[in-house]
Amino acid sequence: MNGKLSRRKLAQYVASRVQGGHVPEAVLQEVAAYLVESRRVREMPLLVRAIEDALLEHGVVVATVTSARPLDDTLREAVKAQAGGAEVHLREIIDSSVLGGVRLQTPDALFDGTVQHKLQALRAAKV
Amino acid sequence: MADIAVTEVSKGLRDAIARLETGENMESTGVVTRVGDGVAWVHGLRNAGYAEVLEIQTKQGVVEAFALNLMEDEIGAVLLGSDKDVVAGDPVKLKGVVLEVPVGPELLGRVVNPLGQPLDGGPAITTKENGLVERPAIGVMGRKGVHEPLMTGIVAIDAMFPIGRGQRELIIGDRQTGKTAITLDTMINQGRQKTGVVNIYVAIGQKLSKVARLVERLKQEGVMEQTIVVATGPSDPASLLYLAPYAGAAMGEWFRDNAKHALIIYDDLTKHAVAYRQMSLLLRRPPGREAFPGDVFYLHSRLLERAAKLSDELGAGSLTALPIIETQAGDISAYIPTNVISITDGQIFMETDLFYQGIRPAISAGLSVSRVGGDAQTKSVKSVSGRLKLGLSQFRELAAFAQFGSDLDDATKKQIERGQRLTELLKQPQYSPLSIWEQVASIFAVNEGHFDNVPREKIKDAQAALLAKLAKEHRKEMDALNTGSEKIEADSATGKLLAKVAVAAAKGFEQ
Ligand SMILES: Nc1ncnc2c1ncn2[C@@H]1O[C@H](COP(=O)(O)OP(=O)(O)OP(=O)(O)O)[C@@H](O)[C@H]1O
Ligand SMILES: [Mg+2]
Repeated sequence: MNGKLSRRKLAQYVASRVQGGHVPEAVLQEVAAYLVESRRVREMPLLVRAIEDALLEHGVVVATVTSARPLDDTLREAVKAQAGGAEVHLREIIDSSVLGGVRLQTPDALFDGTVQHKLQALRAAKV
Repeated sequence: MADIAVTEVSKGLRDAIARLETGENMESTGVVTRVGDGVAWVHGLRNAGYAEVLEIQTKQGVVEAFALNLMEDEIGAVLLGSDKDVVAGDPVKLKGVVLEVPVGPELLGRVVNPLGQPLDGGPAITTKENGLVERPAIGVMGRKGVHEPLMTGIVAIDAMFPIGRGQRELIIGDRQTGKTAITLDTMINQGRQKTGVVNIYVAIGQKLSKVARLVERLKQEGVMEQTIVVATGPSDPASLLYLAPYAGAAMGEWFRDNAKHALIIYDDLTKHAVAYRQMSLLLRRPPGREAFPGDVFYLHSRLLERAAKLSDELGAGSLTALPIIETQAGDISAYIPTNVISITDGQIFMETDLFYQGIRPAISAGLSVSRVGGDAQTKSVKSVSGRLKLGLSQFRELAAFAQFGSDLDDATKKQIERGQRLTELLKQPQYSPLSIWEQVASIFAVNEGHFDNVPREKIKDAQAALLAKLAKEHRKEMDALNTGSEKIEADSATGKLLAKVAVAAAKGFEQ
């Protein structure tokens, strides 16, 4: 491989290979090999974000939803609708420290409806 | 291969990277970018270590090399074989080992190259163990003071500059001054005296005919069975010359570490340094003094530190090193000689002038020294060597004055004559190392003045007569004396016996 591939190029390459919310393992293997070879392993988290950004351009939203308790189907559909986009894939994280409600992080927005957030806001308002 | 959900890309990538970095189901390969003068430059193989073996896949088969220059994006590797089959573009793999040579008793009696392959036309060598060519020297706690003698059989050395097991004693001198001869006699002496010390002779860039002659002599003397010869010729690649002493050291260490005793001779380290300089220049390392690379001191210090006397816990084995350095016009202040002098525990300095005056071995009494061997000298030799040294040093001082005039008093004349006789006594032909009792009896006879009436040119004859008589008529006493445990004094029983026989032996040669 000649020269340095930009992170954006790499991300677009991965995004272009996504089919039905899945990316072939071989593609990741390839990208991993490139990162190791060009000693850019540390860029990995940034690359993951870039991939999600690139997917967004294709109308695919990869969102992280954090809640204190597992989502039920109704709630899940509501969250997906909130995230918008033709195709939404949720990364569901259970974290009791949010206390209640949900937090939804998409590549370009953050909706925080958790009790933890509201308490923090109240605490901030007091001082 | 399975697909990964887009929400799991991060984990998928992390796993893939981890798999790559542990090398799982991936073999690292590199490629030769250029080659020449026995050096190949390899791209890739970032995880290669120093002195790690690389396998270059050429069209004619595998050629091995070892990595020496580890740079950011390139490795400078020195080929262990010929560079004529290696071309740019050849794939390179890591063999997964650092350089090793076969070690063990199976090598005894053999002539091998620095990779342990036979050069003597004999069968392939299979040993149970391999030894690392580059191995850190043993630490302080694993060592013990040098205290057992390593008898060379050369009177001048054993009496004045004694060498102990585990010592590093440099043999230094111009070309053709008898340096190799000293080490050869020392090897022969190990056989004759049945010391059980194993010899390892490392020939660095020497004419193979010379090595063949040496091996022939060792066979004749019956010591080849306890000797390993590691040979490299002038036409071998510099990499092999560079490796030879380390390979020899690895072979010697096996004996040292198995509670045995070994003697290793590096003939010579001047050629070794030159081979290293050649390699370093080809690897584009910056040249320093005399165009040697900056780490040329480390080249020899790490080699010679491997000679050691081990502590009792480690089995009390030893490896004694006799490195040889060739000087130009007796200049011991050149770069390599000063380095090696400072690393070793003393040096035997060979003088061209003495050699041509017929004083052979041409050992300089003034410039030679042994810094640790004194503790290793046997009691008997020690008891006669003090007066020998004193007699010779007084002689050297007086002889300088005596040149100016002839009107010397009797005492001075006597001292000069004693010195001349001692000098004569220390002459020793090749291939005739002397045992402890022979050395003690000879020095004692001259020290005590029993040969004072024997003319100088007859001293060697008188010595021969003395030794023959003692061997024939007093075998038992001589065997006892040969253990070296007895201090010899003029009025002790042994002293009286030696005196009696010496006087009788001198009779036939007096004027
Ligand atoms: N004690 C000796 N008595 C007589 N001749 C000797 C003695 N020692 C060495 N010689 C002779 O001197 C010559 C040179 O000896 P030798 O090869 O050991 O020297 P060297 O210093 O190793 O030489 P080079 O520099 O070529 O390696 C040989 O021909 C050898 O036989
Ligand atoms: Mg020689």
